[in-house]
Amino acid sequence: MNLMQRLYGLAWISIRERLHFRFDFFMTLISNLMFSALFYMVWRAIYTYSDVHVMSWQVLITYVMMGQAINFSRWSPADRAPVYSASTRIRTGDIALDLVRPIDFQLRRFTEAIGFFSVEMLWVNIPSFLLFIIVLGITPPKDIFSAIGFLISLLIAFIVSFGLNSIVMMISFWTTNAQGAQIAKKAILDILSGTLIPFDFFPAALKAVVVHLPFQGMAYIPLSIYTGKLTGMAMVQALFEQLGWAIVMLMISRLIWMQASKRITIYGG
Amino acid sequence: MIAPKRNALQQLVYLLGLYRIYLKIYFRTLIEYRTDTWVALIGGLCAQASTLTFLTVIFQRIPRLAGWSYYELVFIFGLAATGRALNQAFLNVPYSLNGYIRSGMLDVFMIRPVGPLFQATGMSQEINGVGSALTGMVILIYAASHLELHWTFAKGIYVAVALISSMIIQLAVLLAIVVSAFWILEIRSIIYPVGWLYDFTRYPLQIFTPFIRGLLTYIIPFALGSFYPAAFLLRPHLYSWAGLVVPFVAILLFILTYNLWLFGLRRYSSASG
Repeated sequence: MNLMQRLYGLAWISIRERLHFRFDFFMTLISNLMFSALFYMVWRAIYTYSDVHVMSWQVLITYVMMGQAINFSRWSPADRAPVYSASTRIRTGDIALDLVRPIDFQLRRFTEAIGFFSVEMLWVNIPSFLLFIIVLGITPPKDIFSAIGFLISLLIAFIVSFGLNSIVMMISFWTTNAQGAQIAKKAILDILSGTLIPFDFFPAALKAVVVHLPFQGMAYIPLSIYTGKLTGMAMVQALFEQLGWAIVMLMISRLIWMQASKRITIYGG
Repeated sequence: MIAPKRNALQQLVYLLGLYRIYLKIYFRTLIEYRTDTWVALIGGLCAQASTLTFLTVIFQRIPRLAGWSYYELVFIFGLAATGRALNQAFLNVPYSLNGYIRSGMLDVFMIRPVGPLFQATGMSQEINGVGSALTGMVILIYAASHLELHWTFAKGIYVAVALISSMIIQLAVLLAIVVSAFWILEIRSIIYPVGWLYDFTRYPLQIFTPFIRGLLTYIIPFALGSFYPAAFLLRPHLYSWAGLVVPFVAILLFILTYNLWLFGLRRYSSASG
């Protein structure tokens, strides 16, 4: 069996594994819709009470609601489960079994993440997206280029997110408190990725910082492509920038993993 | 061993003593796993900082939201967030009860001479909440120092009463959900979204639709533990009713849910049975 077939098989196993937790995903959808409603009302109030508008209501609400539909910092089983299971395996020592398996530890986690992401797409992201279009009347992408650009950007965002989750997971080799690390990650992402607030609302100093961070690849870039803020060459450039960050994040997580696996050997030694 | 007979006061002293021991055990685990403790404290801090950033960035652009000024909003947010964090730190028990039921730990609690709910509470401290609570209090004090609230001793006491009421209202609501776990074992996915509903009450209720307002005031009365007491402190003449209603509802809810819990416990058949 070649590598691709093996990866495909492993990803398919994780998808089927996750489909068993339908109720979890159903409740993730419910809570996602609930939070979206919360942010919809908060933004409506903000828009009503502001004198100067940074962007039109339609663009704003499309951005914010799409941010909730593709939210990579959502408190979902897809996001939590891999990190928690890794930290549990480290605590119980089962991690040793993962290390002797004939497939690379991180590659295995990657196929797992693909499984989670696909099921979350199917159960949470796409239903939320359709509901937002029908109920809230958010704008669909303005042309086919924006739509394709958005989909490509979403896939790269998944890789950036995997890189970050992988780093958080590696932190659990040093601490057993995966929950604390997870809370911090979610809080940082909410703001620095541009999920909750479009960067255009930020003060100039903060904006100058966030556009040089990898987190923008998980919300601001895909959402700006979706809302038509980034088009043509600017879009292509943003996609390359995002891809660059994806590679950097993967490399960092790889480096930490090499350190972490050495650490286990020392402990087991 | 049969528990010795104690009157109500002796029982209270006994339970407080026990709780102190639970805290001591927990404190030792905190010192033992030092990195974990730091991660948790920083996690809590980040969570509060993130929402505060949200408020700050937004309110640089608008002078008032539904009649509330920036510092008033921060005050509401600070009180609500502190109540939530204290609940998480000390009364996190509804979230861990499900695990105790599944693992059969509840059966172990039931044969010990102290109430199972008390034992479960004693074992469910959550340090993440302490980080958030500290940050929440700093935010609350920061906002209060920019508002002319004319602090009196009574108002200080009321803040404490409001925070305790907030903790108890959250506990009561979440515990009521957990009791249904005696009949439906898959509860984990419901309790989280209900708990998150609390986040709505960190904003002035006026910005929400009447449905959400009614839901958070009458059905799942989280707002009575966060927005209303804060509003009472900020606008005493407009929200004067909240003064007494808040602690009263907290006590009433607790009595109701505690009886529901006892009822559920009598009907409880072990998970592994």
